[in-house]
Amino acid sequence: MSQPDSDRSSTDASRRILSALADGDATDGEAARAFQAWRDDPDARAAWHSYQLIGDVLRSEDLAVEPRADEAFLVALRARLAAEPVVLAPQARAEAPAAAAPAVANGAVGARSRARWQGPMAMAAGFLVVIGGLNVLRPFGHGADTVAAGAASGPLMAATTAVNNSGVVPVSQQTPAQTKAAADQLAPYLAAHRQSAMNAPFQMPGNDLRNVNLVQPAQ
Amino acid sequence: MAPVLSLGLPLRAPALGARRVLARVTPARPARLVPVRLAARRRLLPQGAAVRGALLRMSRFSGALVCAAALTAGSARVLAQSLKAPAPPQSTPSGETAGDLRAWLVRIHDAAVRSNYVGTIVNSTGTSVVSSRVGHYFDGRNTLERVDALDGEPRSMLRINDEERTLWPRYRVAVIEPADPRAAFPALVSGNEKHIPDLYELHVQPAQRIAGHDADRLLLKARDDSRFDHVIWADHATGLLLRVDVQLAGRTLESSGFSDVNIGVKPDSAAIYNELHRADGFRIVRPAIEHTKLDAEGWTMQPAMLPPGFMALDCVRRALDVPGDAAGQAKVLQAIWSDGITHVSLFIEPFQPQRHRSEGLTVIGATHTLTRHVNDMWLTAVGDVPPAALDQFVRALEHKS
Repeated sequence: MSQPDSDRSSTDASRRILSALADGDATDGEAARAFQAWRDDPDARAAWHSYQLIGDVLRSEDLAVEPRADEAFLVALRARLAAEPVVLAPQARAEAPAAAAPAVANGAVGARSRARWQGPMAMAAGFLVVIGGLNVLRPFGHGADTVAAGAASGPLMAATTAVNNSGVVPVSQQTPAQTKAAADQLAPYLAAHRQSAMNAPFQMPGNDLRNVNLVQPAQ
Repeated sequence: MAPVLSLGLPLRAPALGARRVLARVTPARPARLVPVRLAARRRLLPQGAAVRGALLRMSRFSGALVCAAALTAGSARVLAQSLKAPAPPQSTPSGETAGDLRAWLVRIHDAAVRSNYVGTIVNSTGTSVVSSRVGHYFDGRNTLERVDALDGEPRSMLRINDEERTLWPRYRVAVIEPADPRAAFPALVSGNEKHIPDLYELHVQPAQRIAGHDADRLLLKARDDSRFDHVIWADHATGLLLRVDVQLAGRTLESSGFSDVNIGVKPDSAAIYNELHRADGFRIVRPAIEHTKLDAEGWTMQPAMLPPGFMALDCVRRALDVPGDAAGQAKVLQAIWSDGITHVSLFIEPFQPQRHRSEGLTVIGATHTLTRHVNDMWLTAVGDVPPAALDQFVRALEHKS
């Protein structure tokens, strides 16, 4: 240990905070500092892993894993997050911000910290919705920006894009009503298509009942 | 809907192939010896079945699987094909052999027809989830099936052999349609299945548990950009299809599968006939479907423009019920192509400005729909294929001058 005392004491402080975070006792500012240290300092990450490992092993020896496994997972996760295209920015929320934050940033005891997580959780949920939309939309993106699938809800959600002679290109976002109208127009075609689909070898029964809300019998 | 199946398949032959494949993939599981039943059985056919007969024989000595299928009544078209029985699997890096794929297709199809089961099927497109209750019974002669939609507008589909009725209790309407005779298993009957290994690569993946059953998991990986990947789970004991996912580059676009299913239940014909009688007095609607040919209707497809592997399956004239402002019936021409696994429909009709508004691409789960206004015609291409493939169908269409 050849590092100067000041460094050592700051390291000790950092470790203390990490330990508090691991125990669920870190306050707001401490948590922020711990996150900072975790990001910038490889030793802090190693310490954090040790603390978690100690906790895990105390709970069950089966939980003892090689640190490299975690590291590899995180590296891969970060790389994939970085590669994930940002197509849509979440809309600003109109509601008032969450109620006053409690003193503890995270806690094993549960409810006391729940309100604090609502904001981030809501944002994470919004992100998932966007990803869900992308999953649906990406096939016809062709590298261009894709459009959001609108806020349509109900049994069937569709997104429509325009096409030109060079292929499929997206147009501006549709309103839910427009999306619904497009889906309504297509419903009889989909029904006819699915009915003639019964020859497919891997068809679950009742496949042609799928768009049940949209196709109605002749009046 | 598939009418009564009449393939007298020797159950053991595909099962043997399937088990062998499984045993190779999961070496920990001891391979069981399965007796090969030599005598092919001919099944009695129900009266009025459109498919008159089909027979598959498996010979232990020649290893040849002979498929002879007599098609629709009147056509007396007989196809006889010599098909190789599943050969000993070769350890090719590109996946399983064509024989393996065929054995799986036969096994899954056979189970779909002969099993008696009751279950709930959930279809998920990522943005919507709908479920339906399904009962399927086969008593050795007749196929009975009932599907009740559990979400949205109440609707039940009843199938008795080769007739399908859709009941709309709130509208008091019963729509009666004949099931497509080719639905028996066109991929096998038409010879189309020979091309499936050229279009999809079969990977037998580690077994999984689905809807309470041990399931074999297969990946049919598309060999080109004209189709999607399919992941298939089949009940290990019976071969019944338990779940199908349509994927693109590992992302699931749509998933359909049982959330629970009882396989091997006692056939409950009362469940179908009672429901049928409940619909006494409903207005009967029989949609007119007229079989035709694309070129007889004045159209042709440039073969070079079509996505590879899709073969013309059918062409019909039909009336579609149009909702909304311009409600009524639209007469359309529907041409259908299949690659043996999935199919594409191209609807052709005169352009109507009040009805044909949104030109473009619509995506629901794996189902893509491309609409385009070409000259004075309105084209609608639908299929569980990438949009570029639909675009090729639309462009390949030409009016014969």
